[in-house]
Amino acid sequence: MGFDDFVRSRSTGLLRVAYLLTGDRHAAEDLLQEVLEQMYVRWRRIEGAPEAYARKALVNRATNRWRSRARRLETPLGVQHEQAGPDHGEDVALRSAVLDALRDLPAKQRAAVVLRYLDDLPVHEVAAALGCSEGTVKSNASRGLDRLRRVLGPSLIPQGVEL
Amino acid sequence: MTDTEIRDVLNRAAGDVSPAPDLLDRVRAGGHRRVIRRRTAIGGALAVVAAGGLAPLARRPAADPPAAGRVRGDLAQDHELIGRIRSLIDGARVHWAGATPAGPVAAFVRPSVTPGLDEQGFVETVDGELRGLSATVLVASGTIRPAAMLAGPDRDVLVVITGGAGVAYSAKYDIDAAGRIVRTFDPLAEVDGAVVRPIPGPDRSLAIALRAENGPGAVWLANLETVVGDKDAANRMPERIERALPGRGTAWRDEPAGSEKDWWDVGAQIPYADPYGFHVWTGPSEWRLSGATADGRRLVVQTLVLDGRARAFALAADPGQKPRVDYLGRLEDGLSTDATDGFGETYPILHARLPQELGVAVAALNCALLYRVRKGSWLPIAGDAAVIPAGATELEVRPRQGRAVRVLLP
Repeated sequence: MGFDDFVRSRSTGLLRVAYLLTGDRHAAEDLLQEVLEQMYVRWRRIEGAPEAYARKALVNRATNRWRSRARRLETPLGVQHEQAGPDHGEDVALRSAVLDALRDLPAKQRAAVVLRYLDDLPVHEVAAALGCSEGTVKSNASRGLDRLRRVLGPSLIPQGVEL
Repeated sequence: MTDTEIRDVLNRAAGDVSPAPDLLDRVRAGGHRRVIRRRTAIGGALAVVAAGGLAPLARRPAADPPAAGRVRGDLAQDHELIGRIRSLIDGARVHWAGATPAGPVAAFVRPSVTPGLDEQGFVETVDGELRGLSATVLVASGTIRPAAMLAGPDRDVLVVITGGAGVAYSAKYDIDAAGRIVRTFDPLAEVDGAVVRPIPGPDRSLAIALRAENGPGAVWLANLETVVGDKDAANRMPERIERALPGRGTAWRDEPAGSEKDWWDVGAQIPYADPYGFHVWTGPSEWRLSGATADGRRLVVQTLVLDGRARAFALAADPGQKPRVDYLGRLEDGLSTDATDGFGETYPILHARLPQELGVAVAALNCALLYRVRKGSWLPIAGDAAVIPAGATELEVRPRQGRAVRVLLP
């Protein structure tokens, strides 16, 4: 698969991961663009599955990220981004609750939960992305899920969200 | 909630985000500039520019003049040259072509794959042949943005396309006693839309800066990566390491937002950055430690890297108050010690004494830390970064692999 095909076919899935890792749409777009730029330059030297490389880079950068500077100044102005469609009320509430809950998780737990349950990755692939053992993935995902259950269960069920 | 329900919730939360339609163009354009990188064979539209082949400078039959727009520059009437540039770069409209000490150079625009956006780039002369630079920048269709390139084998010929904005030049920067970047800018004299100027050849970093006075401010430099050697070109991660120190929870209960957030991030403050300069990130990683002082004020210790050299800063203030930026100095001036782990990798140990007896900021990525006061007992530190008491005199650093290192704290 060439780089262009990779971006076209995988960027939506990677953006969804970045969105839940950062909790912010614009930060997620920036993060994904940075990672893809890095891959673009190194494309022929990336070993193994490029998607796994991208996931690992997303997690690394999301974990260590808090840069308001160093934005690319050459980005043209006035470009219309594709906007999300209008949300239904319950989805707005759900998104807000989920993002708040994820934001409160430690970074490793958040990444383990997102990769394991949003991206539906097997444990060994999550471990590769996080650079840790499978046991650590399981414990991080388990702790993260416990906290999400505690936070999301009571806040969402009364609002009529079918869970 | 079951695991399945968690999956459903996460999918619904992330379900409707989708990338910008021009993501691929942006990636291509930005991939050459964001951090240091190797010159490498690349795919996609930019490769058409880079790998479109070398066009010999030898005279060929005259080509048609450019179909649209007036070509600027002292070689604008060299229709044969203009034609060869257009044959080298598919769809190119030559904006400027001029003679330089490094041979003919041209600036062009051409439609990108995204409607409403053009690619802007440069063609240079290498060993007597025309060659397109691999990096291009996206601009709104029909416009030219201030842009520059370094031409010649020693990259010592600066070519600036002004795009109608007056461009000012700064030859170098200094760091003042407060750790701020200081520059002097002088206006460049434009001739028919461009400036050609010899500069000192860069040596793995570039000291100059360009500022567009009547435009976007920043001037895009097309080939910054050529001033950095390949061996420095690995993307080193992480670029910034964030650590929350004990006591942070109380002092930072109300997280700053908006401009107040920048008060606590020296890197976001223009005097400490160099917004019009051209820098590549070659490490070391930057630290940002946030916690609280003994009397409950917010505290941040931060390092900033510019051209491979790091400065350290400390900020302390009550919530809601703007902190003063205290410059602690350059890491190479006694605020950091390099050690080697069991894998043979060199890693830095930060040990910066803070003003007002606030303590000593210490950090070593993924290492266990201990400290002691004079000949007292060694006391463990939680995590790989901390602010330890001002009375501490010695630090021990234990990497995951390899021998422990002891550092005297002045």
